[in-house]
Amino acid sequence: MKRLLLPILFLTGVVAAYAQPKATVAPPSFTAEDEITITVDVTGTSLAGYTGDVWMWAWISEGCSANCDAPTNVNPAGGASTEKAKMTRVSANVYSITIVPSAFYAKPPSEIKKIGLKLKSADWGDGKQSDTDVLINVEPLVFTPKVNRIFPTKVTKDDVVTLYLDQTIATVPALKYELSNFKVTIRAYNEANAEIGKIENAATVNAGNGLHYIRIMPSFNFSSSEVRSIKYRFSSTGSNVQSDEFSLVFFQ
Amino acid sequence: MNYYRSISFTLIALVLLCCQPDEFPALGAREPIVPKLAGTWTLSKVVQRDNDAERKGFPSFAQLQDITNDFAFKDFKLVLSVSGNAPATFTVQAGNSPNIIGSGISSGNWSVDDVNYPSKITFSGSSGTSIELGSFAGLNNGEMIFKLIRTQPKAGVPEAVVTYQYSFTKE
Repeated sequence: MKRLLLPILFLTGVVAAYAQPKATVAPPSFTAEDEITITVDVTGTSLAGYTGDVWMWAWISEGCSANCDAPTNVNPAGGASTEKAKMTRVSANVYSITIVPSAFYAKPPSEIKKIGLKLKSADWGDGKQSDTDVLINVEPLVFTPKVNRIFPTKVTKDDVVTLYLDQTIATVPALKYELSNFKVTIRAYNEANAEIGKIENAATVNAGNGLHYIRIMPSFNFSSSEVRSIKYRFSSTGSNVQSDEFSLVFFQ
Repeated sequence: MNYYRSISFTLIALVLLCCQPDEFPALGAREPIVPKLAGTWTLSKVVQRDNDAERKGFPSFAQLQDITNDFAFKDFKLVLSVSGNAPATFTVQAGNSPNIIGSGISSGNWSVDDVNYPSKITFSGSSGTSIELGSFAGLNNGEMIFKLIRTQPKAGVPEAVVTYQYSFTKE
């Protein structure tokens, strides 16, 4: 038994030396555009028991081609440049931080597929860190077709906006299989939600494959700078088939 | 034989002695850009870009659209005048086109951020919109590109959400 004791103690020491920080993310599934809270338990790492300030050293480990470190990766930490990476101590050995990955890493979401992080004291030289890398997958931003897709996705009243009707993904069979062309009626509303203009039964472009669209520039088409939102509905030129009424609010 | 050899040596010596390094001509003064902007410019193409969709890596049809023919954009004319090498006045002849400079702005003064290296044009009364000079490359061929970038604040920092590229040709 005595012969076994030494190797057991040695192995225990090795395991303890390589204890990994436990990280959780809320929400567990997220994209680079979502706000997330990362919580890290550093129990068993060389940062355990540390009572000073702690920062996150972060990088993009997959999807990025150049300059993949977070802009806050400055050593020693402590100035304004690292403020956004400062961790909040939730309890002894447990730290959290809330970020939006695309803003934190200053990269477009398409370049953020997996993020990596370590927690550390102000200076690497302190020897106080979470030892092993924490790697977290980031869900891709997926283009999701909609019956009433618009282009572009964010518009002001002064922008050209394309209002689509995609029959192929309509759930109502009458709309999905309607063979006629479509017209559209658009109502414009001001800040007080009062109707200030109407375009009635305007022809849409039949782009084929069940896709129909109309392009408008709200302030131009309604001759008003008061337009804040629109409501619109497509209807078939050959029958009584109608779409739902869709609404669109313009950003200022 | 010696005759030909001596002739050859003489010719080689002459060629080597005649070789002198070329002198590069002086670069000269930089041609001013602003006077090249003067004239009547007609809108010939409008492309709209969804910067948000681009950042997210959405399909190309969700990122970019040519909207030239959906409004009477080709009616739009912009007349720029200069005073020497400096910007002076402008006139908009929108016809049936939306006024891309700004609704209700038909004339006024224009200015550039840098007379020697202009990258942005400001039309009086069009505060709130930034119209960038997309490229100088075509100016000598009577082509000019404007970019209008619509931004929205994100975490306190303006972020491009929609960009229009207006291509003009000179009359």
